[in-house]
Amino acid sequence: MALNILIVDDSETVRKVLVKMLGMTSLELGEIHQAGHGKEALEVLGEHWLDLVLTDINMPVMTGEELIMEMAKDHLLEGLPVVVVSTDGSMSRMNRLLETGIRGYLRKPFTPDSLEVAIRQALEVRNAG
Amino acid sequence: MQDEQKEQLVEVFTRVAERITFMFAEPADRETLEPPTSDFRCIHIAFHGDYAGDLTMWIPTDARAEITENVLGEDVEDDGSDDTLGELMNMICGNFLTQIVGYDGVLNLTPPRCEPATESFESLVQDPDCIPLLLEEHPVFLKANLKDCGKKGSEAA
Repeated sequence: MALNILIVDDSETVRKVLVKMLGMTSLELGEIHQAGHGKEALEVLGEHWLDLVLTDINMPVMTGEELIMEMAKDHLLEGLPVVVVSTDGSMSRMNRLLETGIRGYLRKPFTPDSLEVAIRQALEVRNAG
Repeated sequence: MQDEQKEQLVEVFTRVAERITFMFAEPADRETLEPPTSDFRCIHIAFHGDYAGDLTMWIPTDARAEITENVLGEDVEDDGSDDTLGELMNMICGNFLTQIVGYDGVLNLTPPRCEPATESFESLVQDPDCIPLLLEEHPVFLKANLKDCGKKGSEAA
């Protein structure tokens, strides 16, 4: 099944790098959508059927953490796998986000291999659940 | 900043810069460092939590397009955007602070702020708190201010 993925990061460079690296994985890709912050991401999520969200944490307007909290409150989005892609690796924040349902964490800078592993693990958790 | 923290910052800069820009990074000798052919961009991030302070990086404007090209792996025109420099700084700062406080530390970073530098090459070379580096042939300077506000700081106080 081709994966429809939403990339959420305020850096256009990072979004481009993620698109490029996704293309270097063996994942079967469908549509790749992009958003510059959490609020934009919620708009995209309201308009498209997606299989996975890759999101940064520190963003203007609405942070990744706020986005994840909003998704957890929405019964249509609460089960959607989210992988956090960030430089912020504090265990306290990650544990808090894991409790709200994120499926993985990828630390910047990352490689195509580590990106693929994080995505496959996130999707396995969903399929197992 | 302690010497050990300066060494950690240099290690993080060289590792992160080489990994995302594929450009060779190394510490530089401030006595023999050559000035760039352009002015500098100044990129600044502040943080608070177990440590409070800020990190500043000065990088030549004429390195901006080359860095973006290397990160994206494609030809780009310098459109004046500091997006890639900001993200490079974000990764350096995040990885440096994680080394300092560990994964169980608490830190909050501000978004990177990029602007034309007001400092001259000569003043950066002469500032003993500025760490001189080379990214390929481009001179780069880093300066960190750190105050321990967390558990270790409380124990030491």
